[in-house]
Amino acid sequence: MRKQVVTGRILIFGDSHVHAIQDALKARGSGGTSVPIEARRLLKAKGPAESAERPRLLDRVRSLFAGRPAESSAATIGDTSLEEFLAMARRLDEDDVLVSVIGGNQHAVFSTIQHPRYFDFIDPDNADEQISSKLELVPYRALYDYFSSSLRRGDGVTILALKAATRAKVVHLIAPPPKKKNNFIEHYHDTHFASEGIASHGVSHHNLRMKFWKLQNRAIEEICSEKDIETLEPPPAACDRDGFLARDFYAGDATHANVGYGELVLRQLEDRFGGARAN
Amino acid sequence: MDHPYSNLPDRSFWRRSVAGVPAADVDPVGDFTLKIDEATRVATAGSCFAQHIARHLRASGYNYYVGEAGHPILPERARAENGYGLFSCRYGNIYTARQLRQLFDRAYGRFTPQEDVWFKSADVVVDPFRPSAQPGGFISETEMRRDREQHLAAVRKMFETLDVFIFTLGLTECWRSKRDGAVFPVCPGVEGGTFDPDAHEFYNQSVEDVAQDFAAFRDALAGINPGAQIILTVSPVPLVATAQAEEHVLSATTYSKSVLRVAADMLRRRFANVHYFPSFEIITGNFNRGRYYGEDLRNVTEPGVEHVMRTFMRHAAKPIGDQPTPARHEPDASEDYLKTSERVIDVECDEVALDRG
Repeated sequence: MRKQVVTGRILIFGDSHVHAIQDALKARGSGGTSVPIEARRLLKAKGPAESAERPRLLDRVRSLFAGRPAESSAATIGDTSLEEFLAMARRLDEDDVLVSVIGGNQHAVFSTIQHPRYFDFIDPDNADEQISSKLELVPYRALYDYFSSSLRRGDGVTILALKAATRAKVVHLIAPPPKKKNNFIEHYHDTHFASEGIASHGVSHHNLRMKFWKLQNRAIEEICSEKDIETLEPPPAACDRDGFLARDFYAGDATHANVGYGELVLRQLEDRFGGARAN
Repeated sequence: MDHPYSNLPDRSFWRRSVAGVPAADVDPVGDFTLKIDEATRVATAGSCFAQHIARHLRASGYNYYVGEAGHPILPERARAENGYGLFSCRYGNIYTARQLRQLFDRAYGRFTPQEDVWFKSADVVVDPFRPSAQPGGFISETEMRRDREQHLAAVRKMFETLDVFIFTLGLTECWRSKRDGAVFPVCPGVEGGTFDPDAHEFYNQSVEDVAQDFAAFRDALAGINPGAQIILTVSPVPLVATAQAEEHVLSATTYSKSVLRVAADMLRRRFANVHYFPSFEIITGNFNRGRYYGEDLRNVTEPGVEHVMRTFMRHAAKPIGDQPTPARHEPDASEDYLKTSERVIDVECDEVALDRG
């Protein structure tokens, strides 16, 4: 991988996947990084209020499975509003790096819980895959176009706003890969899914989860490449031989990675942009 | 003095039923005994104009039968963008009676065309028999064939369970394989595949061809669904291009529509379960002074479609609840023509690809 040494700082901003990175920074303690790294999580209302801010694929899936709107928790999550973060981004210099960890969970929304009408799609990397006759085929490009247009109206807008706000190099970190173990997800599905009462539908096949993750990555990479935003793959050490998130890096829910994963991301960023890691 | 015209109804006379009534009130329907209600499963297929019928039926509260709606993991808008619900199944435009007959035969394994896949590139694969069904094409031959299996299963179910099948005859001109007679909705090489004069030939159907093909389809449908009723319409949309270099496109259009209209009448008279609805007459009739065509003199304007559907509902539909009748749109001379043309519905017509650039 090309190494770009920066003398400035690394500023990370995103949604829920930032949490693992924030934990890793906390674990290292003050001054524990080779370059100054700061991670901020987007501040927003948790629950229906968040859907008023921008289109959320999750909202659609809620209605698909539950047939009713979510209960409002009226809680907020995160620590920094988009406006505040954009102000921070504007203050960055050319030798700084802004890392987007925006979004990244749409794939899980589509593929974690088993849809009551079983379906599958063919991934371009295995374009001759034979889909079981028991499953309804959804054409890949129909799904891709929907994902792409949804991302362009949602997370893509935020990512491009970050790019437009700063002189720093902007990179987008691809979300952690899906977890392979269905029984883990069945027992540790996150509160969104649990609160909607959809866990009773079961968990999708892990191959479907992997295909949706790859589809999402292609869509976000396309958006980023149009604006010269580099995308960073998940740390290889965090993945098993099939590309799924390795068991050691599971957080306690269906989709997120843990502090160990956050640590690997920090090393990845330091190796890529900040020289040798401080001990 | 008494004579054969003495006791005929007003509709038999031009002045009383065409020239002497407001354009929006012209009703060219003859005897039309078929009735639909909210329980009647009405399926549609045919050329571009059939999309209008499908759209209005869907919005009318009647039971527009969609046998291939697409998976609900995609929202309805995304499914519509991918051709689901445009017609009752995702077959795209079916322009000719031969194409319809072969669709039925393909669905039931009675006909397997030899040329059954087109490539635009390695990862853009087209189904030659519904080239516009999947925008952007399929990602592989495997995906296309799997989707086609699914599609043809939906077609079988639709034919076996529909109550009324509305088919809009669109064209007589088509292209077919010299090897086995398979007809394509668009000329090979336009939306995929490669045109090969040794493998493909132009074919312009005659009245006898259309009547025979449709009769064969009707018989086959009756074999699996004896109660099925059929409504035939003729598309008023002119040819975008003719493949006959010696002909003018206007003459070729006249030939094509004349053949289809005559064949429709032959079929109506021959089969008790085949009915004809004169949407063609409503759109093309000179009583509307051309106002039912858009600025391109080809696409049908929304007031024209509304006139057709209002008339259709008057004759075919049993009232349901408080269902409002479709809006009446008076095409008076003061109407802003530009505004009217802007209301032309954007329908998907494969053959438009013939005249790009």
